[in-house]
Amino acid sequence: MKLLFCAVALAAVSASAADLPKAETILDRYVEVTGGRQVYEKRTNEYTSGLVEVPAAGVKGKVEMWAAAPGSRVEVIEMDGVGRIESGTDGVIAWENSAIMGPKLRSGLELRYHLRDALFNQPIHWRKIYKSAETVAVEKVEGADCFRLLMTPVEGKPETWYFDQKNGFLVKMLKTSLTTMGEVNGEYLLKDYKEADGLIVPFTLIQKAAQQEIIVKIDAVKPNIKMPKDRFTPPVEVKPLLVPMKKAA
Amino acid sequence: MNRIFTTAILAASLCAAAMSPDERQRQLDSFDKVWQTIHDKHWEAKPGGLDWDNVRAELRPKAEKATTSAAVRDTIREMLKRLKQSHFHLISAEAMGGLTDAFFGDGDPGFEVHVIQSEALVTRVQPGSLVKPGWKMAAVNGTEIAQRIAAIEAAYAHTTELGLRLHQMLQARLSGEPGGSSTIDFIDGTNRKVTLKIPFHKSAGKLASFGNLPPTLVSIESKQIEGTIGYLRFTLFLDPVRLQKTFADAVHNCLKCDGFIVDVRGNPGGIGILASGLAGWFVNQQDQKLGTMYMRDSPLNFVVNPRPQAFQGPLAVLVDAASASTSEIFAGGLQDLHRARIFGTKSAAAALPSVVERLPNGDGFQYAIANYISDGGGTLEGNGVKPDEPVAMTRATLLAGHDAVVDAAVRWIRTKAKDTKRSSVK
Repeated sequence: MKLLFCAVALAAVSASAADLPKAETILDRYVEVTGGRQVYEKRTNEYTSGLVEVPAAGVKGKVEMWAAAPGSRVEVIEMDGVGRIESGTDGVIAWENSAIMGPKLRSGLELRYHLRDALFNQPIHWRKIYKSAETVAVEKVEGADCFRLLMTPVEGKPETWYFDQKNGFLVKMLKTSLTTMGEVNGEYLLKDYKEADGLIVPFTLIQKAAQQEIIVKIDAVKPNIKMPKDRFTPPVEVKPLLVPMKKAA
Repeated sequence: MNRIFTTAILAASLCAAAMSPDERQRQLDSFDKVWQTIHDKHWEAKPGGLDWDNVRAELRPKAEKATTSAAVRDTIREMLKRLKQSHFHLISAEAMGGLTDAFFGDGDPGFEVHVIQSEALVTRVQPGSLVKPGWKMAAVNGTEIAQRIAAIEAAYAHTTELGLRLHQMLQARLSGEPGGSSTIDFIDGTNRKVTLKIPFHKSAGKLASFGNLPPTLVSIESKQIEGTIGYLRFTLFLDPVRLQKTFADAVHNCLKCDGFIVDVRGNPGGIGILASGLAGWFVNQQDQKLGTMYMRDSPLNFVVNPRPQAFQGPLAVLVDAASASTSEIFAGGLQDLHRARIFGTKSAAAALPSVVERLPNGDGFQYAIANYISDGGGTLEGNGVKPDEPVAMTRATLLAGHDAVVDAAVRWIRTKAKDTKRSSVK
């Protein structure tokens, strides 16, 4: 009797696994529920601002981000007691410059990771970054049933994404970031989805990595701004590092 | 007379007053948060080799039975002490607000004191000071310093905190607000007692804060010795913008100098990764790191970003028993990279990366989140940075007007410069 019960239970699990929707369907649904492909395609650049906080350490600051198609991005964080931390890419080179660590040009795996990460309008271009996507289970995230997807990038470690079954929003990611200090495993929670000029975006991002929780509260998302021409030019501190690179080329 | 006794007893009883239910809950919540934090975030599954559940089972009832806030805090401290690791501390709520008796005001007495061979000796003086290097500081406002040193040496013997605690005690005794003063007894070079009323002037340093750390005075000194050796000294690895600017100016003005001295004696640390940032002024090769911080989930490399115009000549780093944490990461890493020669006495051996959180009772809780291994594979915690050239200041050399550690570094740089000139002539 007990064996029979186990067999029935196993059959039920197999059936539910087979019934899971395809990852492509879940990713397409995400595009739809956050505004639709047309809205994404109309956006050629974006400005985002907000507040950043490391609650456990009592550190706060401001964050600003400029991004543009096809793959340019600059992020600037001004932290109290730390100073300015900026990083960016113009789609060819990627750099970092901070009051603590000084300037750096990214190279190798780290460069390629940051170039991929800066791809504009990622939800409609995910195939350029990930070679496969697979729905592997249903799991609860903060009480909500979510589809768990295994996203395998063209290079680097697989990522795990969680989409809310009910509303289709991406609510959690587990991924390994390539930073100046090496690989950092992190958990990212995306919350407070709200409309911003036609697109529905998460206004709260919580990153748990390196034993620290970092909370970013977005206060403005502005698409299609008049972007300054030199917005993605590296800062003066980074420019001397480009000279040896040009000589080598 | 009786009235004074009555008042004293009342004051004492007020201090030991039973906790209100709310206060009691805040204290117990603080105990729980400390225990849970170490349970969740310590880099070892068994923190300090202990069965952490057993530690709670034993000490939580003790905290519950405590009748005063101080007693609960003592229980929390007992729990932390069992780890036998640095960077696990309670910081009182008063200190977190900068209101404790030990608050380092931004007044400057015009001289510095270090504990050398169990004596508080004046090691540096500002121009115009009546105090001389090598004088012994015997008492401050009636408090005998020898007794304080003996008490700390007894309490912290064989721990990584001894050098730091002695240094902090002296800093506290010599702190004050500008405009104030202290009466200090010295023993001069001829062993005579000299009593001086020492005024506090506005310090050239600046108060810096970082997150939950209490505001602290950061002093930075940059100069050239005999016009050919750069010299940098700073009291904390905080205020990165000001510190980096000072390093940038010092290095740019001294690119062709014979050598550089970075003095982190008495520097208890600060922002850990700033060690890497400052090392970038002296390292010109890519893909170098000072060491690695090991947490439960990921290791983090203390990578050095070489500055476009880094100083490439001989580099000396000066350390002592009060050089701790980030100072040790800086000195130990550059030693392992064979980039710097280390002078002085062994560092504090307290080098665990840590953060400071607020507890429900208002106290600060400093806890280490990782182990740190220097690039050469050695653990700095418990071992410290051992100088390549051990040299200590003595009363005799100080009275003769010499900082023996700086002198040794200068001699080494001069020798290296001569060798370089000889080989370039050949």
